[in-house]
Amino acid sequence: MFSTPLGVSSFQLDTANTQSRNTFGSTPVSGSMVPCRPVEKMAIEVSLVDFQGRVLPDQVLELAWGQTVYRLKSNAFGAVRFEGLEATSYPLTLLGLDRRTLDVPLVEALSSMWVLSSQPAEWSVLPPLAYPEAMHVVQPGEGVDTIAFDWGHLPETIWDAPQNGTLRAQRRWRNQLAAQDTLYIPPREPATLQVSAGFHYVLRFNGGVSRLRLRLAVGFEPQDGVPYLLEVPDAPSQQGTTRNGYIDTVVPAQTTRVTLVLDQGATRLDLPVGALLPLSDDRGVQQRLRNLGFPCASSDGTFDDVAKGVLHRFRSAVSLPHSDAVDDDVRGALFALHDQG
Amino acid sequence: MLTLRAEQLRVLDAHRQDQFLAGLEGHLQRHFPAFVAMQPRESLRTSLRAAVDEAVSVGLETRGDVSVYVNLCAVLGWDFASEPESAWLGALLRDTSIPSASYRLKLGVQELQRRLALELQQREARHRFESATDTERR
Repeated sequence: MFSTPLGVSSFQLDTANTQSRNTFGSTPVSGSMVPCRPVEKMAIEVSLVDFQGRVLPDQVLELAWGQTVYRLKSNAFGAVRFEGLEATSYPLTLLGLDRRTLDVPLVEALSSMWVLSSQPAEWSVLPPLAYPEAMHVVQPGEGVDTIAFDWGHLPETIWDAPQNGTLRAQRRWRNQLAAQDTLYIPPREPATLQVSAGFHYVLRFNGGVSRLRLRLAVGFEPQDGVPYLLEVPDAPSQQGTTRNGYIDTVVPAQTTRVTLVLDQGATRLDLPVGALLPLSDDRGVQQRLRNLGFPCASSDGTFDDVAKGVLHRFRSAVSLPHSDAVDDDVRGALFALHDQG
Repeated sequence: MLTLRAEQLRVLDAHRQDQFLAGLEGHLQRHFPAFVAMQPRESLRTSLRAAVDEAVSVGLETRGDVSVYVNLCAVLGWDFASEPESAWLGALLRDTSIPSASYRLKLGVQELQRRLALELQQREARHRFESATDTERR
């Protein structure tokens, strides 16, 4: 968690900064006033954020004017500033994100300090950028939610594409893909909006989230009404009580760990989270055994003596006959307890 | 006609600098009294002078921007640019791929405010969680 030595709040800093500008203003540090040459050009600022206000770097945006474009990439802080513009409006195209993923939660006039621009605009004639359809070969641990984030789509846009019908029938859940599965990526439809010089636009990407479902159980008995706090890195903490043992929420798609806090803060469980492999894959079997409290020492799909011991305990717990086999009975029990539960 | 000699100009500049530093001291007293209380008055002036030099070295040109830079010092510590937790901010302020130092400062402040707001939400959620369950226990 980020912290400051004296616990200063965002509001306190904002108040101090406003006072700084009002008191000390644009006087040069040396104290000598230098007359500024008149500036007639203006700027447009754009901030790109996700649904939790986290910044989106490396997104390509362009303004158009006749046959020329002014193309910039959002910096590490998700920001873009177009300089040297006439006091008019321009079409702004966001090339890296599909239009269905975006909305504009904030449009505000730039403050007097930022509205004018003394730098030149960088208009040029550039070949258009194309984002055609593609095929994505799934890597271990990837699910549609993370893949969609990388391709600038909503997960549904990819998963529901008719071209992915066969894979949908095979895999049932969109975040249970097997390595080397091939996923069709539809072409992106770039978002375009009209923007005016002198304004700041906040564009919000509404993809990049993933459903997270945890179940608290003793043995296989779900624990209902248990108060919990879920801490997600670089995202707001979530508080609630389990329903039929479940914590069912959304987190950023790129999340790989969460901390579940229970028992008045006395118990803190650091949990890895991510896409599951399908049940047909023995590694997917091991993932589910681990999630149900039967951790195998290995997670590579091989069942050595330790993993076989774990398998025996699981089979016994669900009243299956003693065996070393990862058979349809085991997969069926895991499906019922874990996937369907 | 009034003619100023170089020595007179130097004295005038020094006087203006002292006035600016005094103004910054007053500003810190008003907005960050706990931070000011942590250090002797003499060292405050020395640290302020170093912070102003540092702000100028990253390209900030106006007293308003330098004062905002000093606010960052009050929030994160005088050496924030080299502290691991806030090194990102030091790197941003020196990142000349964003040409305007003033704009870099603005972006840094926005990101810091986002992190402070998130920290507050996380702290309050933890406090609410612990106090709610304490109440239930009683």
